[in-house]
Amino acid sequence: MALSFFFHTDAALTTPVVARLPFVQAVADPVPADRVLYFGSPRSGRICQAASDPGVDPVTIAIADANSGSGSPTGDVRLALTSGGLDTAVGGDPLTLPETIAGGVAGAVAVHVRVLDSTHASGVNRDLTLVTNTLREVNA
Amino acid sequence: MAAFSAGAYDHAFDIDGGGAGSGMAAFSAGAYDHAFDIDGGGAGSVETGTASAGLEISVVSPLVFSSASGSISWAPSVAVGAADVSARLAGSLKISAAEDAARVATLTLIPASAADLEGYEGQTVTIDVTLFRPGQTASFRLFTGSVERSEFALAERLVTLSCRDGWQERPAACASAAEVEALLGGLATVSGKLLPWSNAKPDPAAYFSGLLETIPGATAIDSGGVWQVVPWTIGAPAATFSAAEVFDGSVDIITAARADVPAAVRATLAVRGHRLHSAEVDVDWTAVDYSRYIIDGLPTLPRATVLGALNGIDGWEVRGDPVIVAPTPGSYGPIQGAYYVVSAEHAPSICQSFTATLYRRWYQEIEIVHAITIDLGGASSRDDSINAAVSSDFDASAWESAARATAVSEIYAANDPHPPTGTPTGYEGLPEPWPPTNGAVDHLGNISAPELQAAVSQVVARAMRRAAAGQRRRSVRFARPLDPRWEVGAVLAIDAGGVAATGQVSEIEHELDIDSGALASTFTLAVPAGNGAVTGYTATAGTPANTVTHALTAPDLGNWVGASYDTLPDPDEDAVQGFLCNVDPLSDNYDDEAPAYVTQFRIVMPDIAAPLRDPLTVESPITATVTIASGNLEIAF
Repeated sequence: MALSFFFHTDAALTTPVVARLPFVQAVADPVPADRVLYFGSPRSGRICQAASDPGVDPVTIAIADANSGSGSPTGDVRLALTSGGLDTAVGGDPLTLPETIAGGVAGAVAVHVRVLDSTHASGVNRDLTLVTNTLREVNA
Repeated sequence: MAAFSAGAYDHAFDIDGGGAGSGMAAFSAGAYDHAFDIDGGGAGSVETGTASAGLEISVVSPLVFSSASGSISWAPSVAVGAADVSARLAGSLKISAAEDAARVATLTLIPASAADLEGYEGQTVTIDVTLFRPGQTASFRLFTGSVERSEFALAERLVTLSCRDGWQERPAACASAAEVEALLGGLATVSGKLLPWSNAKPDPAAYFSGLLETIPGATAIDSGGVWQVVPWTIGAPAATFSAAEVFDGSVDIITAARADVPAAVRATLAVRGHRLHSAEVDVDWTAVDYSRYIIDGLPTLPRATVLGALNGIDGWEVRGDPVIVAPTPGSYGPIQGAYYVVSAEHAPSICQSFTATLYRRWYQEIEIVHAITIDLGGASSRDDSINAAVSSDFDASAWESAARATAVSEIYAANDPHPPTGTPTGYEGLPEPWPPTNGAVDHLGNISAPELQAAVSQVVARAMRRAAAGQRRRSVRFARPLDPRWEVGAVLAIDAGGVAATGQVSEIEHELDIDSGALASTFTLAVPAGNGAVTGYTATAGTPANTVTHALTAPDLGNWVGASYDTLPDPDEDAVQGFLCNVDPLSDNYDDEAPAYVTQFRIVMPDIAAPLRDPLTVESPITATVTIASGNLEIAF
């Protein structure tokens, strides 16, 4: 049994993200591409917390680069909890979520993602991944 | 189009689109399965792990879509569930999207085993395509959805998967009105009276459908699975395609059918409420001269008779307390040697004169029809209509029949410890609303002014959308090499083959032929003949004029003496009002052949005219403006 907490493309948590999230950027003069993901579990009655110190340490989402030095740098990605927060977020910084995230639609946390390419090199970059810290999921 | 013939395309089955990053550990089968395992695992289990979502950043050069001479190759990447089936594709792969509809995809593949056939339904499907041009690579997602149905052709050993996105499921998954409204991006016009949300019996799908009819735009789920609300706004085109960039012979112009563009759309909201009336009539009466009591032996009018008469008029009430004047005790006369004597004991029980105000409250059912006609100038002579109605729950019958509560204490004769405050009006205790004296007020009960405005706005919004949708049936369709840059709602232009058009993408169809390598995108642009750059409306409910005034004629209350030589033989019975009595049989004026009255105090109040009682319909114009985003279409031979 694995975590039921996952990334979804909709607030109702009906569509989990099972393939890479596509972002399209123009080679020249790219404009930021924003998307909203929803982190949560469709299972009401469950909660997830950071495994390191449940209920004390926050849940975090980091930007992992599987191939640093090529592809897209992590700095091309900003994370925020609100749309407006994307303007001030620092590219590549992890995002801090609450210490406890409840299951069910009401508990889902919106994660705003902004991609702005800095490579200006034509290609398809699949080296970046949003990944949480190690989580512990239990009954509420 | 010559530069991009189907034969110019090559195709491949390079799943990773050029080899960059083959790992997708975040989307292991386990991760996917468990994400859907709502109840699995047992209650109370403790799970640990990480969740992840991979990103694919496609840095695209417009050269990928250049129509210049050269070659382009492409590679599809199709995942069904956790399985990459790209290498098993056969035939053609079609994806189509349209406004307010699910994006659908059909694909054919060679199943790996018979067991595969059992597991396709419900599996998540993503379809990507990577385009290669020398020095350029671009990857696009074309579809995100799930398998709706599979059809296996035994002879060919091929299975065709019909897939669609979650356009129907998203609204149905909403748990509150706010969630549904959020799906419409704030473009919906909400009216709790016309389209209420029930927490007891939530029906998010029906609520969504109702609100969808009010938005100046459309909804769709894009290729990445993200819900989109597309305003019907046509500004500058994001791209203009020349004849060299569209397939030869692919340009079609479709005019709107006559049925789609009526001459006008009439929107009406019938609000059923009550017109509440109030009328007053002053009445007075004075007794005959005391000499008549002596000469004719007439009876005096008891105070109790007056009160009984005033309080017994059907439909009428006494405002405040009548002013009844008693005779001054004493002896009056003599006349012919006789006296009329009023004792101090009897005087208070006798009415010498009185004045009183009688009032009546009544209601009239009224239907206020807020209406507007939006001229579309269509070829059809038919008028389309949007009708809605809302009714007040006001209990007008109870209001009408409610008796006035006394303003005077029923306990204390004097020094009431809780005396009434202010100047008595005589209407104390009557339930609200209080119409103006001798006037009327239109009362809508539980329909507040903001609610009425919202309902009017929703009706106009529906008319606006009906009109705009009809105009948007005028469209231009063209095909060009696969171009996944544009989604439903994009504004594009075409200038090819004598057709210059700018419009908004309302339908898309991508077709990728695995066998031949051909791939194409067909776009349908809505090019409405509108009257602005954006689609929208403003609406303000009018307030129907209410100039009702009542001027009821007061009854003439007199003294009618019967059995007398002076008695009228056949008076107008309606005029016989006031104190009716007869001369004493012993009087010299007694005439046993003259009409004799039943002794009484008779009051006949004026009737309420039928136009003030019967159900009434009043039309009130809506002040509104409706704009429809206009496309551009010019045809030159």
